[in-house]
Amino acid sequence: MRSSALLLVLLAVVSHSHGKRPRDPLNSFYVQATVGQPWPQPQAIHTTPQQYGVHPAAFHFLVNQTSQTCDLLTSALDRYYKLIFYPYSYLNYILDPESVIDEIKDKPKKTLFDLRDTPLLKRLNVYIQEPCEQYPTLESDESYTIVVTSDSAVLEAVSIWGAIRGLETFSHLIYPDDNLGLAINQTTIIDFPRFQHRGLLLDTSRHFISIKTLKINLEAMSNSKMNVFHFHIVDDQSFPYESRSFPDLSGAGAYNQDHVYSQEDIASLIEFARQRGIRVVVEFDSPGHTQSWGRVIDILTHCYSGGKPNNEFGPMDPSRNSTFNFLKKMFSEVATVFPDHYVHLGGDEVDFDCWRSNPDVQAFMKQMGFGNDYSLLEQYYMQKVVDIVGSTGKGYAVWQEIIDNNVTVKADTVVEVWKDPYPDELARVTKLGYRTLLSTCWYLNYISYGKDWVNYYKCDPHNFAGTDAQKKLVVGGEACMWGEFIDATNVITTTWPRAATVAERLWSAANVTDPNAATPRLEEHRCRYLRRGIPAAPVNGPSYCDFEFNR
Amino acid sequence: MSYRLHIFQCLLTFIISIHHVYSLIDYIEAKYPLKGKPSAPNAPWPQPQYLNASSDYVYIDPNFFVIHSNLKDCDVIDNALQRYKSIFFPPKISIQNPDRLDESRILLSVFILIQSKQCHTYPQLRDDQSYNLTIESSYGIIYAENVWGALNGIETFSQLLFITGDNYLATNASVYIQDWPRFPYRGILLDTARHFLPVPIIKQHLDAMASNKFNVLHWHITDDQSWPFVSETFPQLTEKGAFSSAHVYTAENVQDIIEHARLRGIRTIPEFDTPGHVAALGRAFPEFLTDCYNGSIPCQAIYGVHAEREILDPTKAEVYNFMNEFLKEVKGVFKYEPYIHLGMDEVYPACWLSNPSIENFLNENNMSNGTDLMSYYSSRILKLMQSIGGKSMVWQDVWDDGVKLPSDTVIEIWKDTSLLSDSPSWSYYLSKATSEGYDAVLAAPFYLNMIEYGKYNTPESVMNLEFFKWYNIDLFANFTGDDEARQRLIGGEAALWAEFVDGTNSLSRLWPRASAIAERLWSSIDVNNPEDAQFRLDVHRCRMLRRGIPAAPLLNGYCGLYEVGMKQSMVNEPIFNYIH
Repeated sequence: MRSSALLLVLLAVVSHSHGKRPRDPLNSFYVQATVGQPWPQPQAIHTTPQQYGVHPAAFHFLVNQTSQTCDLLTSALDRYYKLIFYPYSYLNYILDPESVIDEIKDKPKKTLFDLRDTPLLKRLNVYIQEPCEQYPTLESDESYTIVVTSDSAVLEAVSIWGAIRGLETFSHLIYPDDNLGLAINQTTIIDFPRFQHRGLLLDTSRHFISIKTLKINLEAMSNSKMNVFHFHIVDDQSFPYESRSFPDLSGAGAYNQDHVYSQEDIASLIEFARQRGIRVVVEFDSPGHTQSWGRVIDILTHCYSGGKPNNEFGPMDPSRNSTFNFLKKMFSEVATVFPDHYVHLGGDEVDFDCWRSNPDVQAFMKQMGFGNDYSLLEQYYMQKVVDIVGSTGKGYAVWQEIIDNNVTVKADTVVEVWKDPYPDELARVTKLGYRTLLSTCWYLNYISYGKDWVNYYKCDPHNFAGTDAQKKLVVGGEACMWGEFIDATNVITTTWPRAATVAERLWSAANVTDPNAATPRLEEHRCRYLRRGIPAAPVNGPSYCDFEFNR
Repeated sequence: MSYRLHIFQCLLTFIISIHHVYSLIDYIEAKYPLKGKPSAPNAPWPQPQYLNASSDYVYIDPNFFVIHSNLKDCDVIDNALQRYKSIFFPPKISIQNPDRLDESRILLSVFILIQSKQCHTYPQLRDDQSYNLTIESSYGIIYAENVWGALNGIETFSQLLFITGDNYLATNASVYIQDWPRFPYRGILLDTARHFLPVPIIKQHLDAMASNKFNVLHWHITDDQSWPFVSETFPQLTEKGAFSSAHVYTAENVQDIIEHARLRGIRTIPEFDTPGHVAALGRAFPEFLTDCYNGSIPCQAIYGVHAEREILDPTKAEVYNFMNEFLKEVKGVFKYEPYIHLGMDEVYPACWLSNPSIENFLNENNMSNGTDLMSYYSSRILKLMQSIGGKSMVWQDVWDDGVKLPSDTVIEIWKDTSLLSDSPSWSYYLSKATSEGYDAVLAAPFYLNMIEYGKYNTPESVMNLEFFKWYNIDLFANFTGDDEARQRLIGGEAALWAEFVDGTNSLSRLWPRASAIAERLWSSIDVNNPEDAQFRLDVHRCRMLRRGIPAAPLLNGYCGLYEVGMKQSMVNEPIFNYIH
């Protein structure tokens, strides 16, 4: 495979700076990457040393009848052709299709003449069984098989989504090779995801993240087969969503009018995600986390001190009908703008102090017979909101507090667990019969020194005491990158490739758990990201990639 | 010119209308209002020693603004004036022309007066770095003893400029600054061995250093993992010791970096660490390494004790021949810089002592242990440095071993009780080294690679301690030396060891975190309120973004239009980006 075997580590000494780490002679000086191994690990993969050359002038995709009418496939093939043969130019191309190929970096290392005596892989036949769906769903079939045994390889999938996952794997199998330029080994793969929901949350409220950067992140997700972008679009700090019905929300709630997502931006982001089989699940968190909503529209609770309003505001005001009228209009807009079946309704971290201070809310509590139990008021609020959203035909995802507070939700609700100890929380929520997501152990914004991904890798959504039926209710998990200290300067480098380790946990078989075995593959994957223009940071200690990131 | 001397805590008296503050940056901390005093949009960082500024302001017309000096044909000044144009007038922001009729409200020119009238080539450790800066309505003057002080003054002036909400360039109508650094040595350590750092990224670090008045690049250029420094005398060092032929610094690259630094008043001190940390060197010269023994079997690793072969063999003459030739070359390459950092840290003698021929050598030379051998090696290398006309900088280990160092050696302190439980504190070492007559630099508490999630100090105040945990480290805390010893504590160094850092993340990891250390090393010890400083630092991080440095966020909020990923982002602007 990599023919000029690098002078590997002769010695085994420590890699350390100044006594920070114990002396560990088993550490090599730097991590060696694998060659041509996919990430995440497929369910079943068999390769042999038999190599085929791959050359842009002698390779093409072939599709079957069903597939010919599928625009998603056509564009995917165009993308993957460029990704495989022109990786350095690829990112510019997808962000700006008018851009040109970097002829110096992307020039094929070998000519067809150089390869005249080499077996070449000449085509990949792509077969999709079912007609092309327009949008991926929680139920989409992402399975596929790849067989590379002759000059003609085959990728088979039930759906377009499986084909897209298979193309990603196919692109990982092809690697730079000193003798062949690009090469692929004889390979057979049977693959499917362990969990249906493999999500990543970005927070665009604490700091704004440009559409361009969000697209780079979607691209990085698709490179690791993640399939849900949890768009935590608004929060206390800012409201960058430009609403059609309520333009004042972002008019007053965004940092400024350059820090907004227009309807066009959102549409282009959703389309970009759809092309990659990624669902966009938007979160409009309420009744808490809503300070930025209330700058113009009077929906927040006025807080009182000393018997007078004190100009501070609390959560949404559930005592006023106008609040729910607003939410009806708002969520019916959201339902049309975001095509995914699910809307995330948040519902987390509601602070009762302001509700307690407000005489109107107090009166309402009395009227409703809630006594002094403000969690009943929270429950009341969420019940109204889930009913509003339910009436638009949407399903919803919620943070676990909703269930903790006994709100009645639709049977298809997805409950996201973020509290510790997560095994207990998972057991409790699945016992109630809800589909469940895990994010507790995957708060990637909590940075720490060293190889911290090992902790993410070890966390398993099935790690709780429950019946098989309960386990089946766990539909996946989400890596969360909250934005307090994150913006476009560091979001990609902090998220990647750490989120990829969550991706492998959620895609690969339950027994793929050894971080030491994963390390060289992860190293290759990180270098693959760099080759594709995505600045994934070093996470395994000292190392290098053939192509280093240079902006 | 007469200047009033004020050595008391400076008074920050910028009061600029809220309207203009709002235009640049907005803090929305809905749940937890931050303590501390919001900053003016043009508050300088690090805080000058003495600063007084009026609350009214003057505008600048980009087409009619002149900045000039009394030194003609001085490359350091000429280059700076050229370079600062795009900092004064950011290329992607269209600046409005102010009403020219109102001349009293326009700053027309800044004159740089360099007292020595000398165009120095390269900054020296104890050069005067002070400057005075005054602005009175239409005219500004930067007064400095030499070009290095002038560069500091220009930097401060550039920070005093800000862009108003309606895109005018403005500054305070009356400014009086008297400024000098608390410590002459303010370093950044970049490690290019654990991961390679592309030259353009190193240059951007140098730009960021200049924006924070750091003045020493400690270039930890080689280590066990790789040897990227191309030697003309010994090309095999990179041929075998670099990660690949693309992961090297050619002679031209090195000169490019030295020059980029020099023009910003930054010294470049290379570190070539021996006799440990030399595995990459050993790939080129395996015969220089010591064979480690397990009993009678050579080249056997013992878990937790030693590797198969490691550290230079100090009993071999060819090691000294190599070091002599190589250090001569290095001295020529870094031709202006008197110091070379020789490392000499973390030598574990187990391997030496396992080797029978070294044991014989010890016996023949009346040495009894590894420390004796280390003394033997380091004394020879330090003498060798003197013989080629160089001065040495070393990690403290060799001094800990009791080796007599040349009196002009700089000792870098990295040990502390918090790192090694059996070690005394860094303040003990600083006091001891300086009292023995050595210059000392503190790195121990400033390892910026050791990241943590930002923690809040109290539930009421969400200060991100991650940015300020180094801010109130007083280098003189518990210092016991006399006044002369105090003078020898020359400064500190923020170290970004590169196990988990490369071109993807080094800029956003180091900046603005290193800025807190910059202020500690430059400003008065009385500038010590992190709750106020966080607002100034946030302004400064936005300033760095506007100069193309992807400095990471420390407060919630935003930075105008030029954030990374947005259309007006400066990150890919050619003027701030060195990829050609």
